Amino acid sequence: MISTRRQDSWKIILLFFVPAVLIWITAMVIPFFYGIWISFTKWDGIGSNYTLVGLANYTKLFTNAKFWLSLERTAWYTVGVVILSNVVGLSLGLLLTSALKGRNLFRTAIFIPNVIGGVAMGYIWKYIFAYGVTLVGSSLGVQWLATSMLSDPTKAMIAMILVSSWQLSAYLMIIYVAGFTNVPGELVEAARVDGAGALSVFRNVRLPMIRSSITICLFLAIVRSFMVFEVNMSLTDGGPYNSTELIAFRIYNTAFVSLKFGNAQAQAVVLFIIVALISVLQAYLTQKREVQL
Amino acid sequence: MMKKLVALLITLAMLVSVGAAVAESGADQTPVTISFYSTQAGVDDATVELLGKFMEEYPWITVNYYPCGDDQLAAWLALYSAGTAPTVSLLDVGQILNYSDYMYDFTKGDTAFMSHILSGIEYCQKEGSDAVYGIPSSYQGFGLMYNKRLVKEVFGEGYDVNQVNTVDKLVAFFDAFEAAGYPATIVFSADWALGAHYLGCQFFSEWLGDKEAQRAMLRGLKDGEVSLIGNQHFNTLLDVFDILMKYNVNKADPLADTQEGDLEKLSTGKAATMFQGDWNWLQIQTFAERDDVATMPLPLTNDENDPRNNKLLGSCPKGYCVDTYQNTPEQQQAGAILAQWLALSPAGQEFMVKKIGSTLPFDNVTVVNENPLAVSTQEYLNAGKILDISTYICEAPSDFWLHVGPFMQAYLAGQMDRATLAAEIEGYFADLD
Amino acid sequence: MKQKRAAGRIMLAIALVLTVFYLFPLILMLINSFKTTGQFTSNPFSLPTSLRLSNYEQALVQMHFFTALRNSLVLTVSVCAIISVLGAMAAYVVSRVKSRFVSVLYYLMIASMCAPFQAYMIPLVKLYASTLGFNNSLLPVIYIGVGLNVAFSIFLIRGFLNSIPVEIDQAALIDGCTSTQLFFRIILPMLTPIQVTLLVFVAMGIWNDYLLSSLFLNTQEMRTLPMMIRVFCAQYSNDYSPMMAGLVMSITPMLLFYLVCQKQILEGVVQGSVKG
Repeated sequence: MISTRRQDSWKIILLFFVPAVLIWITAMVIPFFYGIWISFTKWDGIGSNYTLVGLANYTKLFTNAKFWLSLERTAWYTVGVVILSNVVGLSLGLLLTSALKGRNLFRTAIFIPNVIGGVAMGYIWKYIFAYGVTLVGSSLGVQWLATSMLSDPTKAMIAMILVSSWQLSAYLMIIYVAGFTNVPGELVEAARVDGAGALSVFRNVRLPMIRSSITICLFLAIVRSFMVFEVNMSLTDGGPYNSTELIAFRIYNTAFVSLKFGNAQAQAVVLFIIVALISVLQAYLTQKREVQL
Repeated sequence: MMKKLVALLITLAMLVSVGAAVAESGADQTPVTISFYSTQAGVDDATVELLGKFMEEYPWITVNYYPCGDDQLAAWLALYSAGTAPTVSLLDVGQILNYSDYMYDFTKGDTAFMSHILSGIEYCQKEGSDAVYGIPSSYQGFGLMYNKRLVKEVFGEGYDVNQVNTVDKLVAFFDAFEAAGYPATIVFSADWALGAHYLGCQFFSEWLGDKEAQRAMLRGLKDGEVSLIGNQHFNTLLDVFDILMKYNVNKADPLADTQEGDLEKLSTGKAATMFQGDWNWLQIQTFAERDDVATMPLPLTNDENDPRNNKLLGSCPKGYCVDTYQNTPEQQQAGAILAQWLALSPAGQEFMVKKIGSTLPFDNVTVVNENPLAVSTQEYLNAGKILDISTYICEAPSDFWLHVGPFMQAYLAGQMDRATLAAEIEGYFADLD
Repeated sequence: MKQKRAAGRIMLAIALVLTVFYLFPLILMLINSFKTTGQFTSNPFSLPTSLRLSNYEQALVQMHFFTALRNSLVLTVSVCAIISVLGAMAAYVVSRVKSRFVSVLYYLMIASMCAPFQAYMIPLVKLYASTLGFNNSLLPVIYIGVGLNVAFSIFLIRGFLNSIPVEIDQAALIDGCTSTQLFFRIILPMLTPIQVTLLVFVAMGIWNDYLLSSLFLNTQEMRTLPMMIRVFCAQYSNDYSPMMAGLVMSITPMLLFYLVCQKQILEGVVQGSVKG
């Protein structure tokens, strides 16, 4: 594209692309394959005496109902978080790129949940759910909120989705803000002059221009939701009675509490395959639409 | 020329005297560098100071300190992966035994220290072996913690809680608090508290410290030969749990509590009792305003003379172990010295008592403990009124609490009946490989 | 005109309400950083009775705050500096060079973002710390930090590059630029908004990282802020009030960074608007 000469392309690939690829291979790919190898063994976490067990860790997984249940929960959680965080994040992006006084301060304020790490955030929300929400619930007479959301399986899952979306929406907002600021003002003005309403401007001018932001945000939301760990650990700790133990937390427990490293690696590999399939498919589909537009 | 010769002579003389000094203090010890990994989080600076004292006493040993975070085992295993296994580690005894293949056997060195250990050296042994893989670092008692001020207020000065030695008396005890307007007890709902401590420690205390009986129970569960719902011990345990549930201050929303919140209620007199153990002092002492607390046995039956109604449960939760897998024999020797010093020296004991608030299972302790819960445990330990649960602590699967705790939570929340609970626990053991 | 002003006010009101909602936990943190842990657990929502600074003092001392801050800064700045150049260069190739080799690797990189960290964390330590003897230095953490973020940075920048018309490249090449000049003189400056966005993400991830650092940095002198915040957590107890004070201090540098970045993003947009 830049140059018609093949030689030039290779030079630029070598200079610009290969360094990044090398770091990526050494820091991610090689350790990952090492991890896959561990999934074919029974290993105690220390010694060099790996016992090769072939596919045993995988066959055990396929018959383990609790593993699939945990995956299923994670899938539901992901659906909730992906939708909620993107709707909220996109709205925030739209609001905070409009002519609003002090929008930089607003953006910074809304960004804060992301700077406070997931673990601390989870603890603070735990207190808000245990004390604050129940207080509001009982004083307003809303029975549904009068007992802690964290002590009911369904409500605890909703709490997980809310807290995660709350944090993630602020994260995605940044990308949407970048996307919206790239929409040329003249284009919006021109549409307005032509008599388009606010909704129509959004749908016909702004939305098509931020398609690539949407692709990125959907992808990030999917991946991050499937991998959620810290909030899971600190907010619900998998409870009540294991109803919110999502898959990454389960993998961690299998390795470092149950000390079954091979089994944990096998779970991680299965998780990887599922998430990779879903998110690459998503990226492919939305990018195809980008091109069409 | 003359000057040079004098300089040379002085240098030689200095070298000789330094050499002699080293030989004197270290008895031909060559310098060795070792490392210490502690799962005692939150006291890093004090630990570094403690190791400094050790290095003063043993100048040929240099100790590097590896503090741990929340992910105790992950960070520890990472050190092994890196080929830099800590020489001495302070770990849960169950963990030491899980990894005993890589651990130093203390019976192979100087064993004089063993005579100072009141109770617990056998904890770091494996079934059918005489090897000792760890030195206990502390002792831990479990029971019903109570608020002393409330007891005094409701029952008057000089009331001895040891009178509460049957289940019926426990109910009367609770009723008296409620009549006085105080919630009687707190059931702390964390999975590890319900799983490891109530269903674990309290359950296995029912074999009255009999090692073989506890082993037989664990083995029976693993082999699927035990029916819990027909087991008298299991039903005794849950009958009492039903009573605790009935008087639970968090009854309306039993799974919404936090550890800090529960302990705050106990130590400020918003509730009278709570089943847990003496390490809770670490949290209680962070509260600026608090009452005195102590520990009493939780009665399980209606026989006044039943040991289960008169004794606390106890065991050594953690121990010092020495790695043999990635440390040289010299390092192992130095490590064994450090491990013994940490457990038995005045400085090491002062650290465990003052900083951690632990009870110590040794006969040479002179430090006064400020942790009233540990003082209770110490009194029961000295009087021989302890039901030993070490077999369970050491030999139960490491993820027992993680899987069984949630079943207990469901039971506590009224979402699971006793028969299902029994079946789920049996199911957990059946799934082990 | 009036209508517009009313709409502006409504938007302002909405923004204010949202801000409070997003700020709420920080406000809680601030309030409780002045209370004792007992006051916090008995009622997290009560206002502090006095402006106690002892939690801050305690946090400064116990966390070895300035040592930890230095480590966190070195780590974060290094990773950000490397990733912003390396990522942009690679993204440029992905966006502009038509090559099956490149696009296959690009999709593999995206797929690798789906690998859970738990799947390769132990192997990482085994490979780096034991074979390369890197243990207990910031270097492997910086290197791996770059390696884990490189796919994401290419992914993010590529999307932005695709929206810059190729005609700009072609015009520059016709004017006699080499591809290297073209990239560093023309393309890189245009990337400012997305670069800043990327830096915010990467910096945030690294600044808050606990797991990766904890695997490599085992001595006290090497620990970062997220690792040191845990000195307030013992196995069975948490000293929340000084922890809150520590958190407030740990996040302040990141907040200032983001505020500065906000301005950069806006200026970058003004610069880049020629592309219209």
